[in-house]
Amino acid sequence: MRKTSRVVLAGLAAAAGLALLLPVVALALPFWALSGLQRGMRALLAGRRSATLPWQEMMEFAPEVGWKPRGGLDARAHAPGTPIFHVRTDADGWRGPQTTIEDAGIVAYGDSFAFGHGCDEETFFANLPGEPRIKAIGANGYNMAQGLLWMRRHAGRLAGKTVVWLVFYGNDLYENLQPNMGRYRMPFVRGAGSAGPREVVTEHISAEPWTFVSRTPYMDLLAEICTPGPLSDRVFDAAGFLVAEAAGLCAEVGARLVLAGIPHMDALEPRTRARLVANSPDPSSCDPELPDRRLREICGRHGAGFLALGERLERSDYLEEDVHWSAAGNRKVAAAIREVAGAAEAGAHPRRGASHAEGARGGVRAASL
Amino acid sequence: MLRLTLERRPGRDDLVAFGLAARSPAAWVLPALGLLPAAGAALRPSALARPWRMWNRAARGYGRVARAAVLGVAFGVFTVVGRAGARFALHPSPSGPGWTPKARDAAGRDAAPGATGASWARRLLSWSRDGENGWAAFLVPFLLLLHALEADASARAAEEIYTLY
Repeated sequence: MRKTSRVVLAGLAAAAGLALLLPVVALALPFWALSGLQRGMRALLAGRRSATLPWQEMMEFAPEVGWKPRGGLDARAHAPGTPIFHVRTDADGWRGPQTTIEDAGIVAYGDSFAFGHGCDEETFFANLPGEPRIKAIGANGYNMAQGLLWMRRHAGRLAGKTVVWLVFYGNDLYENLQPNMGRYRMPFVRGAGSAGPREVVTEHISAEPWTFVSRTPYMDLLAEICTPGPLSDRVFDAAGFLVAEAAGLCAEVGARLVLAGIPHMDALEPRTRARLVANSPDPSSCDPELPDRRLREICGRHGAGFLALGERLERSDYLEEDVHWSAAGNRKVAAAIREVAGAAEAGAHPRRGASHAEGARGGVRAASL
Repeated sequence: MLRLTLERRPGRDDLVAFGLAARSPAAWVLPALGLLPAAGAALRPSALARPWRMWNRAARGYGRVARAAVLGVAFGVFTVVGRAGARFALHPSPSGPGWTPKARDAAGRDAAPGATGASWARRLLSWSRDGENGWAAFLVPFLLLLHALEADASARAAEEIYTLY
């Protein structure tokens, strides 16, 4: 009896409650209608590519390198903090399915910048029209060790081409020393900063999650890398080893190597640059352009070219709330890469003078010196 | 599924579709006439970003108020049902402890409804039927309404994928 009375009372209460909520439903109708119409219209506009994928579904485990983008994608990528962007990948998982390594005169290796995080197919630097054509080999989160492993795998296909290695100072340099990125196992350089041999370690790579995860304060680490000291020395020792390996490989197969240094967007404006310097263990000796200087010197030692993208890019060339390039930034990068590839092919490595860089930075850099 | 808000960070296609959808029902003639791509190209996505944000702000604000109203009414159902009394023993019984054994199936596994893969609504209805809590089935419309009034529903990643974390 009690059970029946509960059901009856619940039914009557629910009916009364729903009647009370009719105005709520009526007011929600325009929002639901426009949302539904917008999604339907988007599906008609975008066709097959109307499916939205969270970025986690765009990656898959890859032996030895840790992970790579999934092949055959044609979807809208959804990542926190980034505008939704349209991604297409070839059968191997690399963006720009219309261009193969064989078609390209430039093969660009790197991380999420080489993957084109945050930009549509039409605005991705490797897809912009121009000669020579560019094939980008990149995935979110890659360090330089992963780039080197892919260069080795592609060695037989790089003859006569310019290999452009995109290196983002925000995390790539530090992560060359790390066996993991969060829960993901990652190749790294062992022996950097020591008297022993250096090597790229891959024996720990598997699909099993990395067991020990700690927070990585990337901006603090970047500031420390820009400050002469033990971490900075280890980081550039590892980078030097990787550049030497890549330069040797390129020389062996008849390719030209150019390293392109990508600054963090905070280093491009005086206010945010000062904040970056303040994070350093010794702000008086912190120089956000130290990575450019050290990598230029490393490249010079190994016969590779160096392109300081910080001398070509401004804050407006990055997305508003994301560290990756905007459409304008992608255009500038494509032009810069083609220019430096042309110079490399002609046997020279263009380099803008230091005076230009100082003029671009203004008062803050003068103060840091 | 009904959604109150638009994407938090729209791509170009989203903005163009918003501009076209806002002109409905006229816009829905365009696909039939084969004019959709041309109409889309005529719109400037950058000009639609501000209306997009304003619309989403209004939707989120409305959603907060609406969800509070629905929750209030749903709790009212609990209150009314409570008038029929409760089976829960508020005072210790002289006959022994109030624990009841968990239902098990023939293989000894937990027999409580909640099979993976079943939707939450189906699991709730199954529980209300099997557990003699039929009254709880009347909560489903309110829960569905709350779901439809959520703002910024995020895409759920598939299970059993490498990059889940």
